[in-house]
Amino acid sequence: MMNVFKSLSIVAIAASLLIGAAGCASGAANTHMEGSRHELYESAGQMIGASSAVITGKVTEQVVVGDSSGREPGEGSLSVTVSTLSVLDSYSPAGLGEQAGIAQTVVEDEMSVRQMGVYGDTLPYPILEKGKQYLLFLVPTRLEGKAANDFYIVGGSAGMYTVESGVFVHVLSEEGDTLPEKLTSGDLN
Amino acid sequence: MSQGKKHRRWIALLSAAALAVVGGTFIPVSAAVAWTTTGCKWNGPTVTWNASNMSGGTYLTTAKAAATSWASRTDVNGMGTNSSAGMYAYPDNLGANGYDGWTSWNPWNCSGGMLYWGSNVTINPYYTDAFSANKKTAIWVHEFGHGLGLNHGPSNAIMYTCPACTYNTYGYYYPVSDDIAGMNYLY
Repeated sequence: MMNVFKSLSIVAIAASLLIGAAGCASGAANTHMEGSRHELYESAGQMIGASSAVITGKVTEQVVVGDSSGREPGEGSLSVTVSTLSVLDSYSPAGLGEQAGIAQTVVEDEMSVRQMGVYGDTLPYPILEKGKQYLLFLVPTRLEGKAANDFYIVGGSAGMYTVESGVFVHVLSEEGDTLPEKLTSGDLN
Repeated sequence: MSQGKKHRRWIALLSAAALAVVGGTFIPVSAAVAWTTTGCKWNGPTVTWNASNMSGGTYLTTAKAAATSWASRTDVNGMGTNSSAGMYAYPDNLGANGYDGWTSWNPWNCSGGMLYWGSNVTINPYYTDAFSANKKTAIWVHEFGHGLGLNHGPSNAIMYTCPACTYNTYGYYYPVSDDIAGMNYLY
């Protein structure tokens, strides 16, 4: 019986410590965000059809800006991370942009990618990391002003793959897409 | 059942409960439901929202319809507008970011549990300008669901990751059984 009480005590103490730690972690000033996906993708081909560009690139610079609303923080302003990528390669797979009826982007040496949120926020996708390489499926923002030249990643998390030993590995996502976990450059030519 | 087995079962249950709470997102044990929570909620079932960033029109009427549908179908009370409320709702053109709507919130805890102190419930006119009033309402209902404390649910619920898909498939623009069960768990 003593062992049972000992076990229960250990579980209770561990739970208290963990709950406390979790509570304090969540008490930090980070923002949580969730969204309603406009469309879910069942295949790489479907996502290609929704993209105007498919590139691999390395994140060289990042800045945090306010969203396009012009509102003050606390009244609706959201923070946006803009990452500059040095383009390493670009792909023009069959059907690029066809489903969305959008023109293919002329890929330049550098491209700016916008993501809602900042590093440390709880988001439905990871914020791109400076110095890392990615395969990205991109689409123009359709915003006005300076942001008009930027791109969004198709489907938030859907069009984001990390580059690992020459293979493209999809980022973890629970948004409902059913996409290949891995792609190679051969899949995109 | 032996005493030892009983105790081991209690230890397992306590451990599972602790892990579920620590994870921040409560996941119900029953396979019959699939709702999840953000880990945060308002401090009581009477909730209001702030429409001061909206000037009227279809977005305001559909937002009001969506807010009311949570109050009329669940244990949440109120959901009327209030110019001092911490939950703002408004259309925000975020362009082709892949999301029909977007909600952000800040939890305030360590002193009073996992409570919201503010949230922004938005809909993205880049996509939703072309939606019918009912489909706009579906997006608002989903976003208000986040604003109240629900996270994503199964594909036949309004809290599915793609409520426009749920609307297209089932025609739902209001909370349904899984959403209602989740919200009633919270409030």
